[in-house]
Amino acid sequence: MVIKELMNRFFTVVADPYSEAKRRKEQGQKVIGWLPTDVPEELIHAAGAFPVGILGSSNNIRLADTHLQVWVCSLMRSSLEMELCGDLDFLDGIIIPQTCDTTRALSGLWRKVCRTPYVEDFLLPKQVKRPSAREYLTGELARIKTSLEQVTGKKISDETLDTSIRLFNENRQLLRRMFEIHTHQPGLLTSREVYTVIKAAMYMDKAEHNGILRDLIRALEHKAAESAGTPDSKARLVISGGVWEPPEIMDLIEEAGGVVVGDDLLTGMRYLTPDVDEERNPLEALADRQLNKIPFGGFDNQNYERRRFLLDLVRNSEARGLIFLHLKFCEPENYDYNDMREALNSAGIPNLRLETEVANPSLGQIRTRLEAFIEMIGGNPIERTL
Amino acid sequence: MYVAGMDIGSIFSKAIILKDGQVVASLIKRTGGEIKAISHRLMEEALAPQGLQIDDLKSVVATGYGRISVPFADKQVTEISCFGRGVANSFPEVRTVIDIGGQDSKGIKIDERGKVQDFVMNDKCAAGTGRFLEVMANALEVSLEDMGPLALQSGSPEEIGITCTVFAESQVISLVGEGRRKVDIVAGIHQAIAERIHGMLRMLRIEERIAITGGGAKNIGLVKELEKRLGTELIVPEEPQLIGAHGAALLALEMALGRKGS
Ligand code: SF4
Repeated sequence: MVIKELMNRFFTVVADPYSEAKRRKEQGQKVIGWLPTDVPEELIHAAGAFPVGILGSSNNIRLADTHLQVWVCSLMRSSLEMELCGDLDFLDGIIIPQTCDTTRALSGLWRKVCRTPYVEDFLLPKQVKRPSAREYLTGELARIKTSLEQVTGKKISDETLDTSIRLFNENRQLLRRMFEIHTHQPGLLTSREVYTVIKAAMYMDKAEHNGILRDLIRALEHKAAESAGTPDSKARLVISGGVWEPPEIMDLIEEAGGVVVGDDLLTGMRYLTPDVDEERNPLEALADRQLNKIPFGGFDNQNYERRRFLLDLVRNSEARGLIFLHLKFCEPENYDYNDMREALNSAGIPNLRLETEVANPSLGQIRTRLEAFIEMIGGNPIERTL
Repeated sequence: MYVAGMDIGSIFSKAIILKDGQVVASLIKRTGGEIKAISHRLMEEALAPQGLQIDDLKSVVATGYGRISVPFADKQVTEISCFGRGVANSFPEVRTVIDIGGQDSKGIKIDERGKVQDFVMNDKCAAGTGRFLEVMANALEVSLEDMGPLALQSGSPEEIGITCTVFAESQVISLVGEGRRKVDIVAGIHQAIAERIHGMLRMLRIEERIAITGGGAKNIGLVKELEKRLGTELIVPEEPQLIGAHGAALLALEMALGRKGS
């Protein structure tokens, strides 16, 4: 019961993601949004502003189609739609990470057609293996720091930045702890619940999120001890891709008899790993966090090749298979796919690719694919009652 | 002991009754209207000649896109698993199944017991499916059954692009307008579909032998075009549309005998 109540809080947040941001705004705090992913929220926080994720919505895309072709990923089309509809009027600014061609083009477009007063780019290095990458990135973070200071009128001292870093590290650690409990006993929370807690962190005040999350972890640990040893028949799965959208995809996976125990999603593991080194110069430490992030289609890891990473991820999660969850027209993922599939096939890891869109879900065929995949790898679908 | 399999497809619904493992009745009907009602009617009709009722069935497995709406099914299994099982029963030598249904087409790799090893399915678009052929047959005012044989008569098929059903349809209409020969257009359509399906199959490591099932298997023009591309003869079951229902019935039998489903 306690778990249900705590979960309700997170579900309320993702159903109405910007109520906290709007409240802050009314109180006179600046609100700075970010597009997925990798924008260093700690800097926004240390500048006294409220960082909030802009992750698209399930509403139909109409206005954005004037500016973006339909072959642009729905994550960015939908995020632009939100602004054009007036849903993001509370933003004082937005930081757009240049992850792929789409985000690069969107940044210029946002300046041109949107009302957001302040638009900043986060220019990620592409050649992350070069020694110059760290130096470049530290400089880029310093540039954003100054830019944020100008917009908020507040100097970011090393001390305040350290405090923010500790707060965000704590959030990541708590999220990872919750995830760890889930992977040991996948029956305690549903996959959708687990990932909803993660997504809620992108909209909430971190201190508040940490508080509720701590209670949730306590409740989960308690229940885990009670129900230890209960066999779980669900097929353990890893998900690879951008975002877990539409959210119903998590329900479909569970209904088909699967459970998600690992991922490399922007709205998953990529958000909660790794921590920022608290002992170092904060900007350098933030740069290092970025360079050591798990790999994905648009950003390599300096010393962890993605193919190897995925194989390890499946093995360490004791998963029976991997599902590529790709947003239609996400080119970094599309280019990566064949390589990744080859690597998994060679290692004998069953895999399935699903293409989804943020808005307008059409889930009938996806259900069939998922069920067939789980029938193939062995799993018990949940009995459906008519 | 009687068991049954039902395959509720987007265009056709099929039922098969097994008595002690042998097929004693089968039925194919157009899917239309409410699936719950259709599945009832279809099953009752299939059982009537045996003097049986739904309650006499020890177990029922439903498959196809309407599988979740069959009220008397004991279990739902995807058509992918059912086609694998159905094909392996008659053709244990088959390692790859091409299924061309009304709304989607699939490539399925199976082992000798029909257990699925890997599969691919076409996109949401109708291109490369039975629906595409239907749309084209309508546009050309040719009956669906005549499409395949017509395609074989052409010596110089037209080039038809197949990224999208709607584009292909308007292309076909302009070809008709230009006075091109119908047989050449029909042949072009078959080439385009075969190309699309072959492209999808390349995602799998295709192994022989290869069987083709679903409504598309009844189209000789399509079978020939696919054989050309695959460089091998396809196995075409006698009743290709019933393979899914048969697979479902075999899984129902296993359930009734208390063995675990595949
Ligand atoms: S990486 Fe993919 S999902 Fe993200 S913005 Fe670029 S195209 Fe869209």
